[in-house]
Amino acid sequence: MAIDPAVIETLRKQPDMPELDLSWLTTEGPPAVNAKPGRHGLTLDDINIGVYGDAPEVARHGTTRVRGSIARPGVIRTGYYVPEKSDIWADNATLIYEEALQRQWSSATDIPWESIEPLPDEVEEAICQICTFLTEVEFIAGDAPGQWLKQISPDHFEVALYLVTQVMDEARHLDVFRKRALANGCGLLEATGATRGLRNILDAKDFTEMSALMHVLAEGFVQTMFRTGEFIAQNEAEKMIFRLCAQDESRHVGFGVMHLRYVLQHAPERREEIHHYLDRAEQLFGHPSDANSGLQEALLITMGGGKDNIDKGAEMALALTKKQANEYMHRLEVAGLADRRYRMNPGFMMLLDPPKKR
Amino acid sequence: MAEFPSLEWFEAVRQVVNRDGRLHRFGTCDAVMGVKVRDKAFEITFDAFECTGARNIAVADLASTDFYLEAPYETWRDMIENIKKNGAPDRQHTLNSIDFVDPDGFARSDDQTKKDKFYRYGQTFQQFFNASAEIETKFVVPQPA
Repeated sequence: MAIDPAVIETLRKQPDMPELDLSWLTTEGPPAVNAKPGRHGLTLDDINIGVYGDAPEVARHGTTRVRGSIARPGVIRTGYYVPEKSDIWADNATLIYEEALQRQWSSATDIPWESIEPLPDEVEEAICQICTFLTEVEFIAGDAPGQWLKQISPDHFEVALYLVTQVMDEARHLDVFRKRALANGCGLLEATGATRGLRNILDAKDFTEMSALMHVLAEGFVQTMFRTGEFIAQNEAEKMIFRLCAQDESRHVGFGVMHLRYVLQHAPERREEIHHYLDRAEQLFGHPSDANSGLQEALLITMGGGKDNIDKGAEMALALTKKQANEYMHRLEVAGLADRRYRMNPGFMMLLDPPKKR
Repeated sequence: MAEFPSLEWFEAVRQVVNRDGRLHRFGTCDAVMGVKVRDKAFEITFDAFECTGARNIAVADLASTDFYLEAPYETWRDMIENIKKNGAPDRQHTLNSIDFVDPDGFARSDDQTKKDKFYRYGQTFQQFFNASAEIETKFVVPQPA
């Protein structure tokens, strides 16, 4: 900021003022900026100007110094941050953060709860089994990114801001599915107790590992499932829940794909390491001990429209699984991991359509 | 009365949806959506809180949109008539439902990340087509050029 040295000198010499140091009023610092709002309002991208926008490749200082501010000597370190930008960055973090703020919704007032009416027992119980599963899953989906918040350097703050919106989204998903389970005469049913696949996400020791497993694989699968909500839903309230959750989930998937792409572009030596994470995750997601028969049967009942239409439900469930596998593969192609097609877990590989000609 | 499919029809819907700022409450939406009905193609642009443009494009140019919606003419007609009848689609006629039951998908793109915009902004696009309930539509089967 350009401070006139004469102004500082005048302030120092004011007779009726206590003696001031004023060393913080430096004449040397970042250039003055005058950010202007655009059609989206004043966004982070609008203020990421010059040094304020230059996220360093390596965050070295380990303090809370915010990007673009002036360093002060002797400041204590406040945490151990992931230093490498390529380990945590995604070019769409600011866009998705702003979008998340704009597209928030309330489980209390944006869902037409009054549209829920009594359902046949087996359908209500199936809905509640699905809600029990999703309540549990969303709890983990909030915990996993939450673990990384304190490790994001202020130099790369955009990623932390995005992660906070994800935690908020997952909190809302947790609460909306819990509310639905308790809103129509049934309640929560059998919990899965966190499967090996979910535990694997919580145990990730590396941000990219966590993001690939959670954002790209798990949330990609959940996003596809939410989109089938039109067929699981029995009323307007449930339709709205699934639609709004699918929108939120799509942002998380979008961050994960762009993070993976950034890593593969800036640290290509990590390709095999990432394949290793996915090898393990795909295997665990299909592991027999992870089989959630309660959820699967509940999906068959709701998608078929009742226990007498299990065949129709099974047909739709297969279509869902096929979409999940193909969309997962397409996202990996966008991220730069097209060779995943040839080493994917056989349980998923058998569901893939032939690659599209480009 | 606007013919479907035509630029006039999409322009009329665009005017309705922008008239009272109804897209604002769904949040920002930045996407270029293509529409393909037989051999006619259109590009609909969403920027921030508005639908900012609609234009005719060549079918080949659909590849440069984020994603495009393609379905048989009869599916389009059923959807628009259902929206007109109810003011909003029933369960079988939402964009999302049509997308799920079509093995090739209603929303199409070679880039899954761009196609994911269809899901990220799903409520906004649904609101756009729901606005067609407020105009009169004349259905005309497009003939090959």
